[in-house]
Amino acid sequence: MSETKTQKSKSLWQHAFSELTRDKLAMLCLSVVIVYAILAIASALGFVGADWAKEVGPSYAPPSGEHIFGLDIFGRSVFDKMVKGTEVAMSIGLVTALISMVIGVTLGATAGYFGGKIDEFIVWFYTTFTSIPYIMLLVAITFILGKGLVAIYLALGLTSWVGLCRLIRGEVIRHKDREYVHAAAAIGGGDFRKLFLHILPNVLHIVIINFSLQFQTAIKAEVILSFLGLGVQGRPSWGTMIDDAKLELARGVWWQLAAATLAMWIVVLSLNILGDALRDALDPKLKGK
Amino acid sequence: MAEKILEIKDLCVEFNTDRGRIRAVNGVNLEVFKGKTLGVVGESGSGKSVTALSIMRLIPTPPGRIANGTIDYRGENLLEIPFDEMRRIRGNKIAMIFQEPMTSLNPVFTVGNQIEEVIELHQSELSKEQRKEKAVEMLRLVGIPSPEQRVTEYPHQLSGGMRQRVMIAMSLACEPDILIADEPTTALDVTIQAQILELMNKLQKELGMGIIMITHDLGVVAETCDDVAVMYCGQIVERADVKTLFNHPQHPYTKGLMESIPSFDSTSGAAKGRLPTIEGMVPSLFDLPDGCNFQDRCKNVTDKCRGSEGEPVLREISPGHDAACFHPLS
Repeated sequence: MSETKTQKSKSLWQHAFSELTRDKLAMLCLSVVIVYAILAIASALGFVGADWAKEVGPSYAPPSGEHIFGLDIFGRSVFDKMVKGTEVAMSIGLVTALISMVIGVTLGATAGYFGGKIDEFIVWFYTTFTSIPYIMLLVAITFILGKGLVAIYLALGLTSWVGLCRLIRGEVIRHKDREYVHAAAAIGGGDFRKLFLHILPNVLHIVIINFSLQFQTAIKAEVILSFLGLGVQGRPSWGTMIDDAKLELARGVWWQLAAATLAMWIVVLSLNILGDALRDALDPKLKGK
Repeated sequence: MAEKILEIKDLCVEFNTDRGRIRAVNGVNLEVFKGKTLGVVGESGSGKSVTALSIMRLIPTPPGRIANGTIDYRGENLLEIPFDEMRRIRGNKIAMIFQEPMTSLNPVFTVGNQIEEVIELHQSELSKEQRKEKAVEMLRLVGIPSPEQRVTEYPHQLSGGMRQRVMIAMSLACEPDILIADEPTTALDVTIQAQILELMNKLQKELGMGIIMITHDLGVVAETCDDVAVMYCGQIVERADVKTLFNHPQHPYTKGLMESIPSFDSTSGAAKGRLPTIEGMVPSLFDLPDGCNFQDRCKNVTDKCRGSEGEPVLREISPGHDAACFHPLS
């Protein structure tokens, strides 16, 4: 019987995903990130770490069986603070990466596609922007917006889009003269269709890789902001915990620093490895390396 | 006489470059008839593709500019209609096939998606299911086996010939009046070339569209075209129906092109001596000579050709046969 078996072909993304699932280390890292994400959501909903502010023992009690990371100056559980801090870290990573993705992709794609004066302006804008030392800019933005989570989102998001913008601009310039884009024009497609429906899906892998790397950069940047006294207020974050530790270390209290660093190290490392694996899976130039 | 659907008059296209302005197309007149194929032949850089892109208004501006002329499509000058209206014509009334089937399809979408896109753009009244059905139908029309399976595949899963068939399916999805084929077989190997040309001939008979076949291959012209225009340095140097042109070429350039086709002795199968070539080089568009552009490569050159009486213009040599030469061959 000539029964034609209509079997759906794998899309580029399905290919990339199956490539990714073959990489065991990447899958481990992905599950670590997922665990962190679940923890963050659970903490936001009040299921875990909700009573982090409760005094459970003497000030600066060292790690013990009951409190594996010891207690802080007010006798609060460092472990609970670390868990609660996941919420801040993950939300900063996510929101910052989203902000920088939207700005970077929009400006980069516009500049690359339209070229001419628009391109000149955007390139001028981001070169000027990057010539300002980034910490200064962060400090300035948080001073204007006041302390708090929103200020950190905006400060980090608004300062981290330039790299992605450059990459996308270059890729769009490379793609816009490809024949498939001319073909899209020849069937009657407009600029919007050509740019967002035809070119953008071809450069999306860069956006995804960049997203995972931006995510962990933002988590690290939060620590710097907190260290400068510009971090989140009224709730624990890994940054404020490390900031607290600068006074505690002299008294031999190392556990707060250790807990926050460990939590951060694991997620940053996982995101880094995941980013690399995504690059391997998505970037066609590295195929069959 | 078949209905005239497209008439190009005195088309000039200029490009601004670092070294000055060049005229890639200089005063071209062409006519396309319903159900007929017009061949445009010439070397690289003779302005064939630029002429084709002008019809679609796809000349990159800047640096390009259509400096002069009209392109009448069923009584409307395509160079003057609003941009939105032009977009409705592209892919719908006038469609185009590109040279490189390997890169003309978007690698991240299935071929079905890409055919559906044309239908979506121009026949928005069709539902998603109808569009899907139509995509399968189009693939069947261009002779792709098991189209239900192929429609879900990505361009990289298809061979070059298959991809060119998909491009043809895409361009014909809205049953255009005119199909512009810009060297559709150049990137394909010879057996596939023959199949694609045969397919285009067959579809032309079924759908009745006019084809503009742009090529540098006289074999393709002989096989597919009804009328031929030979281009040299942005100008048409000879124009006739295909039989007349091959039997009685008037312009030395056309004759030279025909002589430089390898021919084999039909009995022994061996090549007949050394292959004639056209001596010299195409003059640079930055520095065209006075008089005839072909003067430095022509054996019959006289003072007249060197500019004493201006440029040779396209004139009728015999009924339906025009050539731009002071000394036509017969």
